[in-house]
Amino acid sequence: MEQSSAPIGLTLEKPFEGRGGAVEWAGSLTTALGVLILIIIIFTAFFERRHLRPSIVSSLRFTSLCVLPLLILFLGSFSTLEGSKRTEFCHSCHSAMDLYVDDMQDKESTTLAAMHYKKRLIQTDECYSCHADYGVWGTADAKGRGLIHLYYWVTNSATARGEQQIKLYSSYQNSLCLYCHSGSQSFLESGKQVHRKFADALLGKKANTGAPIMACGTCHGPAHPKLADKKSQQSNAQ
Amino acid sequence: MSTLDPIVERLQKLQTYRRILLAAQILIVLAALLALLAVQNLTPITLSLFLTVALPSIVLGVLLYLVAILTSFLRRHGVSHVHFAPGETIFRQGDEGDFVYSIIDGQVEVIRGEPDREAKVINRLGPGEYFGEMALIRHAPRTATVRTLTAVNAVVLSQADFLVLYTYLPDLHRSIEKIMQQRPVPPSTEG
Repeated sequence: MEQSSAPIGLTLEKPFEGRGGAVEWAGSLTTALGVLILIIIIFTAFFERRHLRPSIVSSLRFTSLCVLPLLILFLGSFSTLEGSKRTEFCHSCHSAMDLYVDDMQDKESTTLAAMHYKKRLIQTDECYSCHADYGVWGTADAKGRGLIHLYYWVTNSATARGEQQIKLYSSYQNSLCLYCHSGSQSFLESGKQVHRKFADALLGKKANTGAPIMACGTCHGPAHPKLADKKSQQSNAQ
Repeated sequence: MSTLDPIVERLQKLQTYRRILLAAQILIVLAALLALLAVQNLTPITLSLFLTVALPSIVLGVLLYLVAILTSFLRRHGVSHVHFAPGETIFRQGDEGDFVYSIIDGQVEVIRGEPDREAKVINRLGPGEYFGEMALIRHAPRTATVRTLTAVNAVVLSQADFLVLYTYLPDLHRSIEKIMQQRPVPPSTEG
């Protein structure tokens, strides 16, 4: 029997996914409502002058042009916006994201992203959990920036082709790491309480740039490999 | 004359109602297709199309539909004077009967299509004559299409108002009965 090279977390079906999650249900309902709208509009247009009573036509129009579209608006938005947080979605911009996703799933890699992935420290939405600020405005901000990503993708820029190192828009904030780590015992007590000693530096920001006085990545980085490192690896392999 | 009068007059026209409804339908169909595409195959392109095209289309489509309802309401309860451009279709055979039209000036032609036959002009009407009463009295769809030959100014009377007059004014009742008997009999299949 051929052994899969994929990490075990990817190969086993998760125990609760038999009936699908809220995103899957929203997606299925959106599909059903979309098809229903098309059927009702075509049906109404075709039979309006033939057999249908005016009151039925009015009811069908109210349903297909007001009620169902508003349901699609909410369900579709929920389904697509939540679906876009998944790693597969980020990875769908193939060239640009190959380096990062491949490294994250690489069993030999020791980057932060790979370590988090191997240990299943982040259960789902691995990219999104570290690259969008938590809360509603973080999501909104990330979606806005997503449109800039789309522009790069449509214009086939060097970044989108994966030929140019992707850069962060601004300094990576420690709050994104501390959102999960700050309350844990291991974080507070590890390394002779080093995090407690440097708490002011970890929580403080530089006045001129807004960057952390001491970034988590200073000691724990890098989060991802650099493009130049990968290219040298590839040339060495060849 | 208030500044809203021209807008109300425009909204009252049947063609305006149809166009608004058609625009709403097109937008909603477009939005539904893009939603299906995005949900079934979520990529940066389909997500962006959903967010930037489908969502505004849904909002605009629903608003247009509400405007169409308002238009329909104004047509049924608003000002009774309407103007049609030359060549404009006032109603089509098979449409729901909603008004009686009395021509002030201008000319219209009455066209009837029958199964397996080419549609033909069966009557021409001018100032002082009226049309559209048969569908209201029989509670049936329009039995013919009426199209303007020239610019037409007409007075319209809603179904409810017309039926009150028809029921309680014997002279009007007899006059309409007489004219209806003179008009060509519609095909039995059209109710």
